[in-house]
Amino acid sequence: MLKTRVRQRGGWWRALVLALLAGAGLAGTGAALADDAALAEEVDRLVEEVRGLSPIMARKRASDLRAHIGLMFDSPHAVESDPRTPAGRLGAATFCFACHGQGFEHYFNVGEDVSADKVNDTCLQCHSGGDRMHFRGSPHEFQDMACVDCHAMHSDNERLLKSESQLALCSTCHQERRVDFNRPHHHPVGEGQVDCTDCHNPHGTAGPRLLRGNDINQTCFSCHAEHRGPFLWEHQPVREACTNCHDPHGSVHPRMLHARPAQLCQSCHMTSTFHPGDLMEHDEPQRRFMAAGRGCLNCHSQVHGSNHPGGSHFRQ
Amino acid sequence: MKRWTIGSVVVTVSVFGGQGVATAGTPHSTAVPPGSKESEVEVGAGYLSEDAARFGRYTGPVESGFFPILDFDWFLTLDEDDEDYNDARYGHLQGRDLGLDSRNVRGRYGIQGDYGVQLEYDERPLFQELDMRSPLSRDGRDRLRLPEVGDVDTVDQSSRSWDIDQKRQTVTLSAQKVVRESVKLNASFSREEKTGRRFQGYGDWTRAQGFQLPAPIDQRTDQLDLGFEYQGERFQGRMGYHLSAFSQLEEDFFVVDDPTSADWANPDQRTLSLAPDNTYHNIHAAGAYAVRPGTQVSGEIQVGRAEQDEDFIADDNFAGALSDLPDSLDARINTTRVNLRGAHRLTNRIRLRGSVFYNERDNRTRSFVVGGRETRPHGETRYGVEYDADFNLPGRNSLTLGYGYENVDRELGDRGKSEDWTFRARLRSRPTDNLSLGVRASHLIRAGGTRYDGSTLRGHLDTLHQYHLADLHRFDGAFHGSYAVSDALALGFELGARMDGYENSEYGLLYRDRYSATATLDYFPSADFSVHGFLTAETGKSEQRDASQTLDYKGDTVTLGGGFERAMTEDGRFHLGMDGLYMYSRTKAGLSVGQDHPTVSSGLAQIEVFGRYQARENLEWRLAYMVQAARERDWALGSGPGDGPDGYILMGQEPLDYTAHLLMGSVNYRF
Repeated sequence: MLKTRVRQRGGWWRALVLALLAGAGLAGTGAALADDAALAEEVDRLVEEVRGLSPIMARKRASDLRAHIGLMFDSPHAVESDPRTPAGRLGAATFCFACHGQGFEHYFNVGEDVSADKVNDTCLQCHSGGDRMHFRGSPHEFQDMACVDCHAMHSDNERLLKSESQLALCSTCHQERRVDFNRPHHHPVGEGQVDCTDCHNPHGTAGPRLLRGNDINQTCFSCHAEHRGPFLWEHQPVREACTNCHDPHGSVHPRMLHARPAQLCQSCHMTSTFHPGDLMEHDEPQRRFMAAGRGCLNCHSQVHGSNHPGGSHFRQ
Repeated sequence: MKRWTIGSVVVTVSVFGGQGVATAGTPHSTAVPPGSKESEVEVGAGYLSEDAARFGRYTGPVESGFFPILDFDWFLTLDEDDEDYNDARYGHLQGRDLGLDSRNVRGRYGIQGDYGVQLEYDERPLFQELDMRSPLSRDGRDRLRLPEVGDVDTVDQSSRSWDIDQKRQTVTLSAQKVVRESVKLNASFSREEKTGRRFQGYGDWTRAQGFQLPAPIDQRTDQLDLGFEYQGERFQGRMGYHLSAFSQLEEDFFVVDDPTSADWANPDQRTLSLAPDNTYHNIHAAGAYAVRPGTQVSGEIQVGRAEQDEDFIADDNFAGALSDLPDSLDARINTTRVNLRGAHRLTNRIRLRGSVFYNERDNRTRSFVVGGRETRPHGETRYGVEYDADFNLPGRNSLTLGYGYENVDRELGDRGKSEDWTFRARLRSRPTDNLSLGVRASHLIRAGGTRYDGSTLRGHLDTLHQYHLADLHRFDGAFHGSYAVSDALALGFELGARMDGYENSEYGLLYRDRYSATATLDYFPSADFSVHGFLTAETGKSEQRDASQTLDYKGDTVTLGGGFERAMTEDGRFHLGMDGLYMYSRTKAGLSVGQDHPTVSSGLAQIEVFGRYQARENLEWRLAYMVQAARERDWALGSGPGDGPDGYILMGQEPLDYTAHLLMGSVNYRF
């Protein structure tokens, strides 16, 4: 593959020149460029001309325009043998036009030379299926986010993301997540063992919260199938939503709970009649018995559900 | 293999933390890998100064000493005379963390636009504690035995060491076939085995006796996905089948000797259950149709069934309960989910969106009265609507208004029915080219505190007003903005608040509030120099009540992070960087009567310095150092065998208190 790509790159200077010349209205001069040295010089000159044509791009999008353009030829969009790609449809010489428009009308500077809608229309011409099916009307799209807010066609990151890690990318806007995954108890997203997109589909889902499983528990069960049940003895808040007790992004409390085990359990189980060892009582030995170690789970260890005949109190 | 740091902005060690390898939720495609197709290999070694389970809990290392570093990327290369030279054939074999416990190897092969095949092996550890103490010894997978000599008073002398850790090992095989430009088929199968030990408790408050034990984990989850995708100009659709099958590798119970028994030679035995085998089938179909430019409808339907029919555990101590039950539960839950959404651009300045959803969890499992208690196979039906309108206002402002309604009907739940109404608004503004601001707010009202109408709890619950049955008012809001001081410097902030008030709640949680403030800084003076930083302060408080007193809970968290990376030489061959992180949290619980609970605190500080030097075009030396210090004060921990609360035998889990140093060096070679 490397050689294939190199071969494609072997001709990319020429293709680039032709494309840029065409885009800059200078077509015709490229044909005279014969040797590589002259070609490289001409490319340098053309890069400067393109910068002149679009100062916005020069300032905000590409400090090194040569690298910026060169990376494009290492991307899946440049594969001529795939008829679904810009290069497959238009050929290597002119495939830049597929996205930038005939004559380079825009450089994907959202809000300046192009709208978010226009950007998304451009990408969705080819990418409207699969995971992007529910993009229209999705939370990100409805807030005028554009594909290029997260993806850069000239990136060499996986899935052409703008950042090397999903956490770095997503936390650009979702700043609280950067903190959540640094809490003492968290899913190993920062450690590279779990990705944001394992649970969420940022392109949009038919269900809530961009969850892949369509609801909370179904998403959690994709990795934690042992809690799916059905059980003989079920715990209603568990059946309803794992997030009733857990914060999946991270928590200062063990097992990503919303609060310490005893306090969390007593959010609901705060009665004065059933349980004499109540944490809020001042009988020190009883309180410590309930609070040390796993808290209420010292005895009620099967709070996710039990299939034991004697598991009515989630102890067996 | 790109950015090379120990953990970037993470708490624990991940040699290649910046580049996630987890892709379970992200479908593969047949696309060629982006970027340069240079193969590379990285070899080196690291040294961890002391044992610290928390330090590398998700990746390793956790034990002091040397560990190897080995990573590689290998790309298939074809010569010009290869007959496949002109197609977009790719092959990529990648190894990550091969010297650690989070090793991952995956291979991709295919032709872009034609087919792709992926095979992946992945290990994910979870280290919780090293060298815990328990008198129990493993006797086969399903048996934890006490020594014949000993008793609860001499438990220290009888204890042995246990590591509490788990490991997931997953093999995934997936394939895609592009049948024609608009049609794609895909299939995926994964088998994951999770093995190890976890803390579990067994106790009886009536005797005020109990113990913690290392419960076995030996389970498997198989998942199969088959899919069909169509992408036309105006219509896109897909349908598929999903199977998830969970199983225990051996029995769904284990037997443990009770260390609180008076006679260890003939101890009481407890039979504790593990999760029963279960399966879930799901058939799903989705489609989207562009009615005209600016107008699209989309929807999805899923029909599923969860089943569980394992024989009940034959525990002689519960012979009476067993006599009330058949051999197995024969449990079945049918799930139906339907979602429909439409989006329409009314004018250039107004967009509308509406959706309707129906989500049913129809639990067909029989209810039994077992030992005088009624089982409650919970089911629920949710349905509702969402409406939003987005107005593009003059002056680069936009306003979004929304309304949502959700109705939940529960079967055999404490609360039978509830209704949620949500009103939300969001304003985004860009007053100048350099400044963008946004504010959002929502108000949720939950009502409908009908009581559980079963037989066993009726008398009790009818007299109480409990939090989980109470009406709720939730206010959620945030104010955020970013300011580009210059082309190179950007500042950002976010202020957030969430307030939950439980009206009529008289027992349990009464309210819970959370406030946060975040500031960020990004500085990119050149392509070779970048600086980032963030600071977040968060505070939360809540109140709980029982019959005679209240408990006020307050938690504060501060997180500060930042770092830089810079080319130190003009030729860009030597890069140096640093990342730092400080996190401190403190939780207080005060009682209205008597002594407050001791404050629980957790702190972590971490500094990481990394450098890389490009000795030749294809050879790079890398060196990194990290120090991480963690301290905890937690009154619930710190009790080992014989030193726990009266009557309860813990396993010696201590609050965190370590300072670990990590040094790593490696050489990266590209070819």
